[in-house]
Amino acid sequence: MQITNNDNTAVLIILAMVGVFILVSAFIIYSVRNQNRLLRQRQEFQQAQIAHQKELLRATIEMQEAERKRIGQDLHDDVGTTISGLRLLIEMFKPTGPEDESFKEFTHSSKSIIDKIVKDVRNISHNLSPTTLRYYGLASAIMEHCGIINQSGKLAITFENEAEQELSAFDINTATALYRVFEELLNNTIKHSGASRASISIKKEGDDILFNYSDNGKGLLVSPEAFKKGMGMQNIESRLLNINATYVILPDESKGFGIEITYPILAAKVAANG
Amino acid sequence: MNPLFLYSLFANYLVPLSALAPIFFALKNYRSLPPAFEILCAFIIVSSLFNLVNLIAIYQYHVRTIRWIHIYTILEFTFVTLVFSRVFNKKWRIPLYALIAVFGLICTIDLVFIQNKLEFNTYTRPVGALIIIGLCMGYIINTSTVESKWTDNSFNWVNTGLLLYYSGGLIMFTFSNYFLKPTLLTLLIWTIHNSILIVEYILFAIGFRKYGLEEKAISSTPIRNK
Repeated sequence: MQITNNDNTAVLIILAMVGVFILVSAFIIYSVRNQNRLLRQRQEFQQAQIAHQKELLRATIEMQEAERKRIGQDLHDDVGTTISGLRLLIEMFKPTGPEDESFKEFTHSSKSIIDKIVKDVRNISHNLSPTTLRYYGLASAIMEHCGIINQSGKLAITFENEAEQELSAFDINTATALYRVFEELLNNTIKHSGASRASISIKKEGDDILFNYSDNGKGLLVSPEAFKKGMGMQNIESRLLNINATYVILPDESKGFGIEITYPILAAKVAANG
Repeated sequence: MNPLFLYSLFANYLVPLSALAPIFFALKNYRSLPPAFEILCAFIIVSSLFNLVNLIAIYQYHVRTIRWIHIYTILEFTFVTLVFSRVFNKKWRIPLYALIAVFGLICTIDLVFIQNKLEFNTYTRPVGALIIIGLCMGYIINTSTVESKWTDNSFNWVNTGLLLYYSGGLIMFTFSNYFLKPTLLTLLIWTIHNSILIVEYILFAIGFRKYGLEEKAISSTPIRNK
């Protein structure tokens, strides 16, 4: 039996031509959609970044406002009240002579009140711009701050520094940013965590300086993502972003909260060179 | 109505006239056209004139012009490759010029020694089409990560026109010697080819028009933002 082929070549060619045309059209449509999808994703990503930057800016502004309010309150409640008291004391006092017993008491009270005002003003000024940070560097400023908190009995803080030399090379802006971050972290621990102990350790690892902070408090009661949206954390993030440092919230394996901040030494050198 | 008459109307009038659409938009924006679009415009004009001479030769002088396609293949390949030489990175120019020279030589050898009878150049034209498809794909790969809307890039339309025409026509170019005699199915194949050609011209016209719109948008932007 002879095998015959009755296929019409022209029909096959028509089918192939139409088929190839459809295939190529489908490929082009796919590539157009893919490119447009990529563009949309990039735009969404950029928008998310802008929104995040705006959020950080808002947090910074709110933090500044809160700081101003606190300074105003400190001035009003501490310095203002004390000066008013002093004025009242001076007004009420009617001395009979220099040997008058009440005159001696008046002098003593006035001196005590003036001493208190000086102390209050020093505290406010210290909070605004820590003198130790300016003259003795970051490590000393953190140590001093820890010392004040330790003395208050609110928290027992241990401080370990294995990068003394690198820290002393920090410019004032970097040192202030990192100091404020630790201040904020300690403040959070005291206010919200119910912790009795906290520890700060600083060490050099390769080209980075690692700052470790942890406490034995309640830890994160919300997800790390939600926690990062809090004003305090946003303030920390914006300060770290400014000095090119990064941070990771450590997993809540044991009780407490932990954060690791990585600061690249190269960034410190660039900042120092202007 | 006689199908042959309909085909003649479509192939001899409608398809050649459709080339006027891209030519119109190209000439409208000619002063601001970049080199790639200028070459493309020249290609459409040259191929339209070639087609016109071909039609006159067939209907007026009853000349069998099948072998003319050998010459047209060289012209077509040269123009399209030159377009891509202006679109791609400068480093590709010399290799593309070399490709044009080699392809022209092969086409001449094919015309003189291999397919030298009254027949289509079914060896060289598909090869040319494959190379052009490769160039179109290269362009797609190069621009796949570009951060702009696909439709906003005028050359994307031109590239799509070229890709659709040469991939759709590849099989026809390969087997064109099988349908030298005009039958109904043969006419259908040529009609499909001509329809794809109209699609190509429409896409070229959109490309030229888009380029004109881009230029207007740029020139209406204040100078300090340029």
